[in-house]
Amino acid sequence: MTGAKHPAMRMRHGAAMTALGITLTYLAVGLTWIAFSDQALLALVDDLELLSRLQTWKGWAYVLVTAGLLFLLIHPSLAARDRQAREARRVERILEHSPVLAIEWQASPGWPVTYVSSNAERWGLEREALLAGTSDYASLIHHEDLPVIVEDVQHHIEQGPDEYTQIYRLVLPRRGVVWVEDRTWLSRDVHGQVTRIHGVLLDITERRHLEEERERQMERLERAERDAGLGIWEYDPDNGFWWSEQLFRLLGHAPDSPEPDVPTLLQRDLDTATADGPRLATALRDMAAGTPPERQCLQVRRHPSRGPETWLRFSIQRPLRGGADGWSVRGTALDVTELRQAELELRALNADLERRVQQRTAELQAANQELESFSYAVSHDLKAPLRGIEGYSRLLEADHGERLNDEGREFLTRIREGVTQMNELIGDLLAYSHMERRPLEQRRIRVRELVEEILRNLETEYPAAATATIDVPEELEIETDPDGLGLILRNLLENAFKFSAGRERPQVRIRGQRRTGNVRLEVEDNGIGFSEAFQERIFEIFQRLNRAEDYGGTGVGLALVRRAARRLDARIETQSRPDEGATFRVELPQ
Amino acid sequence: MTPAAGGPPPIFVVEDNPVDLDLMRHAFRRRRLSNPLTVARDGEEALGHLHRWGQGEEAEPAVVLLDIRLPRVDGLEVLKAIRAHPDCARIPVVMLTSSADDGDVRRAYEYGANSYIVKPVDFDKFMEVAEQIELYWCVLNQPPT
Repeated sequence: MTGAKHPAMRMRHGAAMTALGITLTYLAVGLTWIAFSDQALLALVDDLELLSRLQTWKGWAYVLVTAGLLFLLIHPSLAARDRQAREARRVERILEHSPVLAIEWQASPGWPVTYVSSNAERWGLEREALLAGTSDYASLIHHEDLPVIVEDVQHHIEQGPDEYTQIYRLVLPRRGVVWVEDRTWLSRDVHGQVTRIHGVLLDITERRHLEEERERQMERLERAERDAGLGIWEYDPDNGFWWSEQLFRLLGHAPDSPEPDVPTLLQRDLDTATADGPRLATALRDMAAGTPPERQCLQVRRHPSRGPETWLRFSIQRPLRGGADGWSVRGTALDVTELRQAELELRALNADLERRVQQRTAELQAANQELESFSYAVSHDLKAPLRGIEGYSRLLEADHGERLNDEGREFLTRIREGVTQMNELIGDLLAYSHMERRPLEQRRIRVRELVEEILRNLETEYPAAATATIDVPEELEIETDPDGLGLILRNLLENAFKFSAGRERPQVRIRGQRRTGNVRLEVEDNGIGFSEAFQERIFEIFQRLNRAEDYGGTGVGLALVRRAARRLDARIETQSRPDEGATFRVELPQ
Repeated sequence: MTPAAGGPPPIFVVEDNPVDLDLMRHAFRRRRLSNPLTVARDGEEALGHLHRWGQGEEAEPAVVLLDIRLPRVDGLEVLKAIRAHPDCARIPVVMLTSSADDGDVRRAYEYGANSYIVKPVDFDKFMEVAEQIELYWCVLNQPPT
């Protein structure tokens, strides 16, 4: 391409031509006038006096006509020049306020500047120095970029094309490093020699910084993706897949591979027979068929051919609608191999634990069952000989009593007392072993009514039961197993009466109150009490603190109470000192 | 009732424990009760009687006293068999056993027992039980004819 003519040159030529045109026109008109006007006047007028007067008028007319002519000739070109000057000023003004710098160089080493727009100063260039040639353009280019630019310009000068764009850095004294986008074109003479280089420089420092920031962000994102093992994908029916680099890596491909289509992905990269594989395959195939998928999260194994065993969790986000019936969908793929491993281990551990618990429970149940039937059988089988002892000692007394002396009859009485005690013991043991087997009921119980009923039943054996103090609100109710609670209260009350029976004024008080979260029942007596050292022991089976001949009973009562309380989730506390009475406190959760 | 040799119908006792059995005899004798005792010592032997009652070869008892824990065939099985037997289904059966277990009581009634009595250890009470049984089931009670 041969360059366009230099605009200043064109303007210089134009001015000379215009001036010449005006001059020639003036000459033609003037010469014609002088050559023909006198002869025409002589031919028309004879009177000399008139002639001389007309001559004078003709002279005036000539001046007027040529003046008019000059105006007509000069005015258009001057007007055109004004217009051009105004336009030039306008362009200058626009340039002045734009980030664009217009510049022209000579095509010689160092690229001396022959023109630069007036906003150069604002750009941070020293305009005068550039135009005067005291500073050349090449010296402003960043030393890292200069060799490339020199080579590039040389290439364009030698081989074209004559229009090109370069991006490089300028180091400006007042502004430091400035990124420019330089759109350049070359002017050539008739021989094809480059005469001038023209350029428009755009300051892209800001844009460049944003781009750099964006690149840094992208890099961070990619690093995060890589560290997290998280790949990102997008899909829309027109463009198919877009994959992030990490997704390629996750599936064992180079990051710059092309994105596969859905069938390839399913066949080559994923083992869709595993875990949620079938559902993922369905979702992806629907997607490929144009149906937007549902939002979901699916786990699948990577195809074994893609490398070591890897599990991926694909998330499919809610599709976004766009256009008439267009849609797009985004999602992620996360490497969950380690997570899955841990999960499997945990599950195996849990299953093992569950199995062991079941095994232990079964063992425990079997042992319990065995113990139950053992104690049941023992209790019953113990009763049969007891009946024999009782029956025959009674028969002996009845049929042969007269042949025994008093001592012999006393022995029989002792034998039968032993039987009675043994019978009670067996009865309590039975109750104790039955406790766990008995199904629990859950009923609302009016505590006061229950206490009154128990007291009535105890009155025959313990007359003090008639005068016990009942400090239980009429409306106090408990939701619990009635038999269990009855057993606890009966045994505690029986104990209270038994151990205070020897007092001059036996006093037993039953207190009941609702508290936050539980109901507290207290049985208090003024009996013989016990040392704190025995607080725990008294609840153990067959434990007795007193001699059997002083205080009867089997030693099972409080063990029964504790077992029943445990089944009702109740807490039992005792408070006592020897000879100062005892308080038993039961708290039932409500 | 088809008494084979006149007199009051027997009381049929199924009891494996010789002591209990002996005490029962004493108890009945002591109260001068008139109904004879027929005895089976285990469940299997008891089942053998059902057929003979049905055929009239043996006097049908006024009441069956049945223990639960028995050798060979369990008392509850004997009870089921009695209730399933076309000729014996209506004979009153009183469970007389050591067991006071809720499950045993419930099952006994489910299988059609007429009464359930726990053998008392106290001999006085034992005699009382014997007397009550005979009085109620052999005297007061009107069985179907």
